[in-house]
Amino acid sequence: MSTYLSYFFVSWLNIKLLLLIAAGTFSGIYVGAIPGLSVTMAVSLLISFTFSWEVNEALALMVGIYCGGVYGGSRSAILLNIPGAPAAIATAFDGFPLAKKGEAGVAIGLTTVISVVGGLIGIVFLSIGGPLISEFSLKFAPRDYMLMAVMGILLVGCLSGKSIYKGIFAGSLGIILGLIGMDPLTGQGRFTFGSVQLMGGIHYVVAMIGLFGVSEALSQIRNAGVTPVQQKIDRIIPPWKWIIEHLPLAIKSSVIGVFIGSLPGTGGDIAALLAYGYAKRSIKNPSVPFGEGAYEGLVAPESANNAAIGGAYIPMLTLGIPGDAVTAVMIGALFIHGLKPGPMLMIETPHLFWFIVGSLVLANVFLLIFGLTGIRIFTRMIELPKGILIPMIIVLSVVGTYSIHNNLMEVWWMLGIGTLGYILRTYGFQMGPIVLGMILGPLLDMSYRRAMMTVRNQPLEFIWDLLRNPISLILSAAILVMILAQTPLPERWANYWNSKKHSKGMDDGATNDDDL
Amino acid sequence: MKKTPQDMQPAETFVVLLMLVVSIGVLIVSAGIAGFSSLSSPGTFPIFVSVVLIFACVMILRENARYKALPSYSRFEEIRMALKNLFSPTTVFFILLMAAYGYFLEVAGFLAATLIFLWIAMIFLKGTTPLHATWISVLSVTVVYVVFRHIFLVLLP
Repeated sequence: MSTYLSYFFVSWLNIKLLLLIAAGTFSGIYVGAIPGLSVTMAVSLLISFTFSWEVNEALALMVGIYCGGVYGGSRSAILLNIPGAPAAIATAFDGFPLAKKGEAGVAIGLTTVISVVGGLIGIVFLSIGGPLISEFSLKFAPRDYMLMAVMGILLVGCLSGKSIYKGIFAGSLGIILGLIGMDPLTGQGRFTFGSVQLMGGIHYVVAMIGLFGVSEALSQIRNAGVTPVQQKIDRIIPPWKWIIEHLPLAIKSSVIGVFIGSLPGTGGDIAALLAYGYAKRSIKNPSVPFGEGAYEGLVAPESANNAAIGGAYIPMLTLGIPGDAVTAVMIGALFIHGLKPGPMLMIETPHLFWFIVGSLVLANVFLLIFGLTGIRIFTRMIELPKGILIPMIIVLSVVGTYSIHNNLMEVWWMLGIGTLGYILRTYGFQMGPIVLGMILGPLLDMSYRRAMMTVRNQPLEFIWDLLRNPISLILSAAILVMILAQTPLPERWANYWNSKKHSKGMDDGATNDDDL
Repeated sequence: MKKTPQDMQPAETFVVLLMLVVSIGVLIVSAGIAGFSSLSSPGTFPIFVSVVLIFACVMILRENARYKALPSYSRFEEIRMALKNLFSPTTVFFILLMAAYGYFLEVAGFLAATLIFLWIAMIFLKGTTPLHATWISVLSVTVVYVVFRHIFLVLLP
């Protein structure tokens, strides 16, 4: 126990790590708040800048950015009615009406405190659930990892967009991009078209920067001329009574947030919307009606999206399956530092798990400090015109890409992948599954081929292996259910059962009438 | 979240058809890696993934075909709409500007190329006036240079 505590406090006692988390959280608030900059984009860029650093230092900065970024999105949602991040969409519903009433300061203050409460609840769940799930996942065979990877890509595809098939396409495209280069088992080139440059493959960080940086910047060009409305800020610290009053709702919403966040592929955005829906249904007498500036409408999504951070780390650290786009990028960061997220991470490097937990708590402490100070300067910063922001994103993307291998060819690939990402994004394809496919694709390929070699290329034996092992069977069934859930079959079954129930009710009614 | 006709972009069918063609191309290339020699050959998994790509494209087309509320256009009109939707004059200019930036990085070096890129892009995207763009560009390049070259210790192009 004392060993774990010492790991937990590493970032608290090391001044450099402490400052990095503080800097990360501070800049994360701005990254999250400035519409057009996203946490995923920032973390993707940071990987390229920090991959020569010590792993703890790189993680400290990224953890800070992640926590600050999720919270920061709420600020522009309240002040400008433009959610800085998808996780803050629900916050704008009541946040902006509050700002219009001149209560922006208190709204931001309450949001800050509640976000920290949500964040801490998420971390408690992570520290209890993480080791338990990790122990269980030790029973997984290589084919189960293959199934988990398929499930992760499918879940991201299903839940992050409106069409599962677009999600499947994006995930598969990512896998193909990830397979470009020399086959690690035979040394044969795949999708290289005879190019020596492509034999080394396309680094996933290059693709990530293109997909989250350049494609986002190109999409932002569509509304580059929009000027934000300036808000007046008076009081910031919320009354203590208010916090106590809203605490039960914050706790309930946080539990929703942790659960949704811990599902592979779902993040703070879905958690916040679900928590908002829950608050709307369960609170009969809000301070003012929802949508017109109800404080309950701020508390529910903000506690849920911050709690989802802790939840998202659970599948990432214990199974190696990312909980959302940011943790997908973080998996990439861990790979770069020679670490393999999954059940063995807790056994081989338990210090890393507890270091992340400790850093997350610290990031929440800094969130409280930075969240309640400097709001007036902040309102000026987030009004930065997109015409200035977009060129800056491109410059940072170029610097980030070049820093990986000091290769200008990779800068061209990044720009090309970014433009392709822009086309796909415009037509409703999500970037998350592509990145996930690129990271998990090569692993999926290797686990599949190894599993096939062990059964001497006998497909029936492979299927039998899936059926006779309980974990593989459950995972295969889950994948099957996920695919079937997206087909018209469930709707047809529901209609069939409803009509059957209805006709039975009619028959019963008729019998009762006859009795009378 | 169910898809509604409003979620469809102009000329989406054309773009998905294009993706279908690319996916078929990927399948052909995958089949050429190692043929069908064995189930664990380097080409088997890419073949499987490219079949999934084709399947996904077909299903998207099927999904979109349900929304007959949208008027149907000729193929030529669809291409025109897709290009208009994706590449407005601003977007095209910006993509060309990015490409020029990439080229001048090699020719003129990071500092000069970035300074010129930022200045033109900021004015073009109506971010600020030419005078303001000048000092913002100079300040940005200085900050990027100091932070990345001296703090993050990364090499610049």
